[in-house]
Amino acid sequence: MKLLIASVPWTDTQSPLMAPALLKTMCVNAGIPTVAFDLNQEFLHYVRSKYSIEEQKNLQKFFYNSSKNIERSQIKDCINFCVDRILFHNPTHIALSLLSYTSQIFCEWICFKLKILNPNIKLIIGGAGVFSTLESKNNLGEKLLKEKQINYFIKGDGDITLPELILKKHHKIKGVNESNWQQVDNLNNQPFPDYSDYKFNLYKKKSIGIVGSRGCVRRCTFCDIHEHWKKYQWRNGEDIFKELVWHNKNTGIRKFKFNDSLINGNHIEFKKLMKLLAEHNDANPTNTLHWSSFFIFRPQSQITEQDWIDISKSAEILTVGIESLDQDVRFHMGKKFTNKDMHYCFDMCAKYKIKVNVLLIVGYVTDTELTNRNTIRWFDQNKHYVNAPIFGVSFGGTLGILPGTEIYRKQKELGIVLNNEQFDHNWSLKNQNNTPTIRLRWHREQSDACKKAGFNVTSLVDNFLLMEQMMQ
Amino acid sequence: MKIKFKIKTNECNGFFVLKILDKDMKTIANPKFRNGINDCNLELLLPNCLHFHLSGKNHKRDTIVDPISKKIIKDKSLQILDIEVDGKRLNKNRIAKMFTLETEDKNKINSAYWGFNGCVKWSLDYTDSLELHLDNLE
Repeated sequence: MKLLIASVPWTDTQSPLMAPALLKTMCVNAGIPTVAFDLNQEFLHYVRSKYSIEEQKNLQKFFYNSSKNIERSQIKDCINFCVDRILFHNPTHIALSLLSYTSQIFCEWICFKLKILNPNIKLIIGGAGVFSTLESKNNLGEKLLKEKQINYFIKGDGDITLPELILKKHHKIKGVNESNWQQVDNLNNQPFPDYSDYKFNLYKKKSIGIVGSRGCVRRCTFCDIHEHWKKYQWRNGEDIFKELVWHNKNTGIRKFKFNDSLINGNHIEFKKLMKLLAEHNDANPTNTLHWSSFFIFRPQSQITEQDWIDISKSAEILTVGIESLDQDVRFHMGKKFTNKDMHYCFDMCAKYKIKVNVLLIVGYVTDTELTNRNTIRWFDQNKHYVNAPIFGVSFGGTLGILPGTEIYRKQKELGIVLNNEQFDHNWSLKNQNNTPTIRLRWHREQSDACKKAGFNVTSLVDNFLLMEQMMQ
Repeated sequence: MKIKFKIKTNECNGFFVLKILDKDMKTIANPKFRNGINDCNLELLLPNCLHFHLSGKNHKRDTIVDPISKKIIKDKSLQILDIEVDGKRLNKNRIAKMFTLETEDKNKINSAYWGFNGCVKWSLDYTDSLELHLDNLE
């Protein structure tokens, strides 16, 4: 028996994807010979070295939405590269990890090719990407299982389920080939992810992924995280700190990227972690440890100036889902911080040199021409935040409505008219001027104003592809 | 490469006679149909070319038209409903457009519904089934 675990492209990242490393350690602990590597990064490296920027864009487009007019031999080459890398290890079992829906088409063709080349290999897929559907009504796992392209799909905590499944510990395992699954009770004192099969020379950003929590303490109306993680779970500060030190000792890596929805969901444990890191960094000026993570802004009563000082000792970039610069829109979203809180946090970050990456959604259900104008004005009035602390502003495309979210459930009440049932970006509001065309204009106007004010504007390629699709 | 066809047959004074030949014009299937939906499984090497030879239809006798409504009420015909290549289905919309039947009197009909004697050629100029799938995405 030999298990191979790999991440499935295409995820635009310069950092290692953590899932294979985390799964490996659990499987090795269960006595399963396992290789785990970041196929996504190896593939990105291959594609970047072989194809032009235009070809890469077209390939990504294909793997995003099966778009036509793309050189088929290049697609085949990409699939074959991945399949060859997997089969090189002669596995008996293959577990493919999908971070998001942008891996679905790739996964489908990798599984197809693997099944042809070796029908006896047991194929398992898992990860949030299996279940965040873009267009299909069924999840990818159910679809591929029905087509006999895979043997199993796993929903939920694969780190527990995968070894049980490989070793066939039980006849029926919760979360295997079904949507019901049980979240693990305790994230503390688990073995740490094993990155030993990763090629660290491929990463521009040499960092290690960390899980400090699962789930989220907020219930933002547009987010479906609670569909995946029913309850919020966290690790204590000491346990996380131990892991950071352990990786640093084993790999020399000093930068860590939290894969959590937010690092400071449990504020008490977060403060403990910050204190430990601050002490470590003060005591080890030549081997300081740093992290970046999603982060939530909180009122001054919850994050004091001393807390910001501690954070500044180790934080590299805080990615903050501000999502709207309009307080009323933000409150409707379920974000619980006022404009005053937001400016306090920005000011503290500027004062203590903490970089912030701001995430914004354009065209929320309560957005109007007025909120669009206010947002445009905000950039101009807050130029002083350019680079200190706002290092980047990321417009995550226009609002897409996902099944399993509050706005999806309240669509009638909110007057939302959906165009399709799955992650709909083409929705409109009844009798109101909030349509896909208007949202695209707001997106353009806001990003232009943001750039004009001097902010660094970033956007993921898949958002561009989505918007291109909306324009057609 | 394994191909599985799901073929719907409509009977009218018997069924169409279908013969499937490969690129060397060797008969590789001669399915015996029953009314309704039939499976036809093939195993072939790529690249290849399939020739579907249709015969046995008398066009005067084997298409029955309602004299009042002028609608066809019974017709000897075949329809390719589904194709699975190495276990994976081709897109249905694509199947509807991918075949051209050349009738005995040299007319060309682009459809997966075959109601005339003649021949359908399906060129499989691929090195593997992945290529075939990628070439036939909707």
